[in-house]
Amino acid sequence: MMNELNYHLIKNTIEKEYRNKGIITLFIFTLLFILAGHGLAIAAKEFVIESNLNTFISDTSQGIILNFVSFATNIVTIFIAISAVKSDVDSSLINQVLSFPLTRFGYILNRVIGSCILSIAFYVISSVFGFILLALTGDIKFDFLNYILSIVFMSIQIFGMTITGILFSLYINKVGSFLFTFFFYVFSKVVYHNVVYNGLSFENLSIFSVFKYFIHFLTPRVGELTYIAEQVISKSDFTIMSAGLSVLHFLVMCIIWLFIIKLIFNKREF
Amino acid sequence: MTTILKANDVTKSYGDYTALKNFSIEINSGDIVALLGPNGAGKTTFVKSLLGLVSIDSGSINLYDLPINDSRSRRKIAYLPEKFNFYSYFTVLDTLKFYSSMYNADSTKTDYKYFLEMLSIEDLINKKLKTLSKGQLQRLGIACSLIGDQDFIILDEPFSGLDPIGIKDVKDICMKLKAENKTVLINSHILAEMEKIADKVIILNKGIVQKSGLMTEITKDEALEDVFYGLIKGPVRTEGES
Repeated sequence: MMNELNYHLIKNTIEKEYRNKGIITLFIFTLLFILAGHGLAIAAKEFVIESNLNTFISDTSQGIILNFVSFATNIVTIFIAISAVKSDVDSSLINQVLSFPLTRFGYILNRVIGSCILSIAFYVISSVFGFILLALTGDIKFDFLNYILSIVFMSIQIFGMTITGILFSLYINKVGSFLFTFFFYVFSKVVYHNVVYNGLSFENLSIFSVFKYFIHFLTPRVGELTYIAEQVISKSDFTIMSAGLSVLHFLVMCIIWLFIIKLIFNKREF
Repeated sequence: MTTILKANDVTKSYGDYTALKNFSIEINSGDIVALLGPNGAGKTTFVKSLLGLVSIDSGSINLYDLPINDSRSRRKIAYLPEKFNFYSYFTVLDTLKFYSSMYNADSTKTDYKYFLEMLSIEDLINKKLKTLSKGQLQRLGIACSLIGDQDFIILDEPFSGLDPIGIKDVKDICMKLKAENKTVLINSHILAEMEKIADKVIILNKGIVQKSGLMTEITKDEALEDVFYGLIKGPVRTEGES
């Protein structure tokens, strides 16, 4: 019975978001932007006389589309995450859902899983749409293994962003949760690049450096994972060992933050 | 007769305000229990405590011989909250299907129309919830609490927002549940209806039980309304008085 309850709650998480039409609207806009961007690239190629620039546009179109899809997926993930639990709490529906024979942690986990499934579906459908457009104009350089790897990395990133969004939504309103989660996404990328280029140094600690190390060591490294995903998409070199360690740190941090959510949520009264 | 719910000396405070003080209750299978009291008496606080929605400061609550912090204790219960709500863009049928699946009912065999007909809202089956009135939403909530055929049904203000026909429908449902030997706990202000439906009654005021017992005994000499008024408007019984 517990497995069926979990299944139905995950299904409900997906249904409540796509039926809300907000996600569908974002999805349609993403596809339209991809279409518009691709159209602009084709128009640019027709006006370009130098063959090198023509080739440059063809070579970079795929990377640009996939990076845009990745960015759009992160935005959609945040939207879904901040609403997953918050909408239940705000509407007092939480009273009814928690009256079922579910643990509170089970409820949170089901909302996380349902949100992740929807976000991953968004990424896959948007990226496949992009690939189809590129294939129609012959600009595609599709590598199935690389694409699968990009889905894997994107899924892990979605998991981390979902947990972060839900955590903020437990305390802050939707607008604030969106902003905090988005800024976390941006800061994580800034911090990662700062650490890569400047290294780690614990001398002359400032507020920024304390904050930087908190983000780097004690939160899921969204910035690092985004960088690895971009390396995979653009088929650049990366070491499997270092990617593996990054993923491991990311997942461990996600689990720790998930348990922090559990502790907070268990104490909440409705 | 099996004891389904046993609460011993439950105390719950919100800051300086004591919502429940040494509250004890025992509900056996087949009981229809009315939990009565003025606004702020502690009725909803008790219901939320038993569902694990709020934590109690002291005392114990066991549901089906399990402590309430064990989620399995809620396997056989259905709950209608004070204000029923669901996603406004879902239809009535979608909402029923969700509750049916969460109560582990076989959704392919569930006759959704039957439950809607019990509450005179069968015409609304494909309507979105945002188009429903308060009373219609309340009727849907009652239908959702019945659809799983659970053994113990908790109704928090089931008559809220209902017209006289709706009140009659709910009263008939309660009598039907009684005939099926279901256990029902009802929070309500509608004393006249409770007098007809309930076997047992508990009257709360300011978190303290003022009177409890069989309905027939409590209303032996006077109407429930008079008993209630006398208890609530008279000197407040403090803990320890009989």
